[in-house]
Amino acid sequence: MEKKRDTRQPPAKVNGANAQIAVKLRAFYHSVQEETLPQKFLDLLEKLDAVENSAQRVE
Amino acid sequence: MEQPTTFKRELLAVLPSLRAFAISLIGRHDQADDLVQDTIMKAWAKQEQFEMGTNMKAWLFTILRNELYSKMRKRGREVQDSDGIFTENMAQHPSQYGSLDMQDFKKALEKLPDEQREAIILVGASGFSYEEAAEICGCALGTIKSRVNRARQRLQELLQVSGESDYGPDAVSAPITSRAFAS
Repeated sequence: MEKKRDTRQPPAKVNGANAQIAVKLRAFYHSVQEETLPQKFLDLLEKLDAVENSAQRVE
Repeated sequence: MEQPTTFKRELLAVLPSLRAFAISLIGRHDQADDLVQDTIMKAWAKQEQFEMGTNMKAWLFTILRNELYSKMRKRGREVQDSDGIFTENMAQHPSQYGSLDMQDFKKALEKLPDEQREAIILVGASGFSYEEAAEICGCALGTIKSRVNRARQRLQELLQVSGESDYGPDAVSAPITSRAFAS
C-alpha cells in the first residue's frame, strides 16, 4: 500500500522533512570527513609504494 | 613508472570520504579504521584490475563494503550489536560530534538496518547517484530507491522530524506510530 504513495510526487510536508534529514546526514558525514586522516594510513601507503618501487628496481 | 604514483594519489584523495563511509556504517572509529586499512591493502593488491580514468571512488567503496560484509559474516554479525557498541563509542568520544543534535543523528543512523543505512549514506552523503549506489551494493536500482525511502522515513520517525506539524501523522507514518504505541 505504501508503494503507491512513494511513486507519486510526495506532499510538501514530506519534502520538508526529507530536506531536514538530508542536511543532518551531510553535516554528520562531513564532520567525519574533515577529521585529520590517521597517520597510519599515510605510513601504510608509503610502505606499499616503497615495496613496489624496490621490487621494480630489482627487475 | 607513472601508474603507481597516480594510483596512490587518487586513492589518497578518496580516503577521507572512504573513512567517513566506514565510520558511518560501523559507528566506531577503531573498527572503521581497521576496515579502511584492510581496504587500502586489498585495493593496492588489486590495482592492476583498476582502469585508470574510471570511478576510483566507487571502486574503493565497493571493496570496503565487500570487506565489511565478509568480516561480519565471519564474526556471526557481532558487529551488528549496534546499541551496545554505540553507547560505548559515545562514551569514548563525547566531544567528537559537535552538537547534541549530531549525536542524536548518529544514534538514529545506528538503528537503521544495514542495507538502509548504507543506501542513504551512499546517495545522501557520499555523493553517488542511485545508479552508482546500486552497483556498489550489487542490487537493482529500484531496490536502492526503496531502501533510501525507507531509511528517510525511519530517520524522520526516530528524530521526530516533520516538515510541518499542521497535519496529523500521514498515511505512511501513522501505522508505524500506532504500532509503537501498541507495544
